[in-house]
Amino acid sequence: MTHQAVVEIKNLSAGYGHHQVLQQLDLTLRHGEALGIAGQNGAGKTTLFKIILGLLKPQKGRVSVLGKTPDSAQTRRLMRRQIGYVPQLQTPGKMPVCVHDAVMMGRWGKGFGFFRRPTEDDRRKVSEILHEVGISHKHWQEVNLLSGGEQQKVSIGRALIREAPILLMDEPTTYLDHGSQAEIIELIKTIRLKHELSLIMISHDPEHLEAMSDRILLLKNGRLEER
Amino acid sequence: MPMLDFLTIPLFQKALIAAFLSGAGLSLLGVVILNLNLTTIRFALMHIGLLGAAVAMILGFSPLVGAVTGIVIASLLLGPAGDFLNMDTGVSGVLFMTGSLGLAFLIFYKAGVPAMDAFALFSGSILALSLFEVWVIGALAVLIIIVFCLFYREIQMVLYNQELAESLGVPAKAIRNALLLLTGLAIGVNIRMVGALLIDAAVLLPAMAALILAKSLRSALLLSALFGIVSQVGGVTFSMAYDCPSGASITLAAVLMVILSAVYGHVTKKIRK
Ligand SMILES: Nc1ncnc2c1ncn2[C@@H]1O[C@H](COP(=O)(O)OP(=O)(O)OP(=O)(O)O)[C@@H](O)[C@H]1O
Ligand SMILES: [Mg+2]
Repeated sequence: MTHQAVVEIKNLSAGYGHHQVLQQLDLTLRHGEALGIAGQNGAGKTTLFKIILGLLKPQKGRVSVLGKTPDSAQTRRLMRRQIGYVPQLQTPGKMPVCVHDAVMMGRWGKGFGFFRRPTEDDRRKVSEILHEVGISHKHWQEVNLLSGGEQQKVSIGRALIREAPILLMDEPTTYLDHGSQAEIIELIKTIRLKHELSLIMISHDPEHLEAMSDRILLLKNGRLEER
Repeated sequence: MPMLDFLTIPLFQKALIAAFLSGAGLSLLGVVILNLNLTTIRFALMHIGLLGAAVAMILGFSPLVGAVTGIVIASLLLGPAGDFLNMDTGVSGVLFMTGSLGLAFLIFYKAGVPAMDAFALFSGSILALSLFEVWVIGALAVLIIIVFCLFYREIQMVLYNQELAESLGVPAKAIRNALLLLTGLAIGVNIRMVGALLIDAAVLLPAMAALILAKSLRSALLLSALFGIVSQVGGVTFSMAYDCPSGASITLAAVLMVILSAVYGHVTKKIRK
């Protein structure tokens, strides 16, 4: 059980139009493993996540997430249900959203969905998760007005509330001050064990990767290399 | 107050009803336009409407039917075209806009239609609306409100972060395209009411004012509808009472809304500090 592959990528090539980003890339994430991925700006780390989430079509190669391949809208939806995704921190948009609603989004397709509004159970789960990631005091605040670290916690909360076995985190510690970085690293270590997650983390900081992962790979020239 | 005598005249009643419906329903789409960066697109849709009118005039149809058809087809194509060309929807809008404008003028020239006749179509007037058009505005307003009620959470997710919504399994592209289509329809219908040049006033300004004050999508939508109704109904009433052009009155009322909410937002921020 512990050696079962949850994410498997073979001979992947991907990019945008004629711009090749990933070339003949192989990756295996095993059950319960925490994998760290390093690489320079523009190496294609976020692109790799988009492939695993089925947001970007591979030009070549095979991707499978718990046995599902991103061939149809149906299987892509099933894949996405197995994945919690913490995207790279972005410049906030104009849309005001409170912490509660931002975390609730993670229940879409799980607790609520088309023509099924969030239930009492969904709301209770949001409260529990906010407590777990440590921002329950900001329940009704606007996300755009929070600090970077707090926004990252909201994002982690949204991924956790999906109760998915796989967690993808894109630079969870970047743009944060030292104190917040240490806090997020501790949080990730705790949730990883508590929720029995298999996870992939992207970071520029080798120290953070050391602290959080079992194995570290370097994304370079479109491929993953052992370090 | 004899000045309000016009309220008993059916022509004016019709105009006021249209203004209310348009304010309540169509201004909700302003929130979508502002959040999805569709400001170039709604400009593009107008030019495509012109192209549609040109084609219709040559084929002997009503130019309005041609304009609305053009806008609907274009809003159905804009999203997918942007995805296909790997462009931002705003950028593909520029492509559509310039392309259709060029084509429209080519058609006008070859068919010998004076361009100004086609432009006249776009100087709308709320008093010139037929009963049928008021029904269309009403049906569209109801449709928009129903869509926002039924798909509130999904729309919230797409407006917040389209890629994130997609990663959570929401069919974000389909929702965005549906919103684009509704936006196209709203613009097509509003052009008849206020004219092409003042279309921003009807669709965008109430949403702008709302987003200054709103703390959630729900309050943004409610405020947008409120400001839409106040500026449209207020503008029309004013124009009737003081014999001013209705489009200009609606626009100025909407501008006033934006200024007032900006001032209000500024003052409350100061007080909180
Ligand atoms: N939507 C897009 N369209 C076209 N090119 C893109 C797109 N997104 C990324 N790229 C390009 O693909 C390459 C890899 O981008 P990616 O975002 O995967 O890098 P990254 O390793 O995540 O970088 P960073 O550390 O800055 O986040 C870059 O050269 C980038 O310019
Ligand atoms: Mg990145």
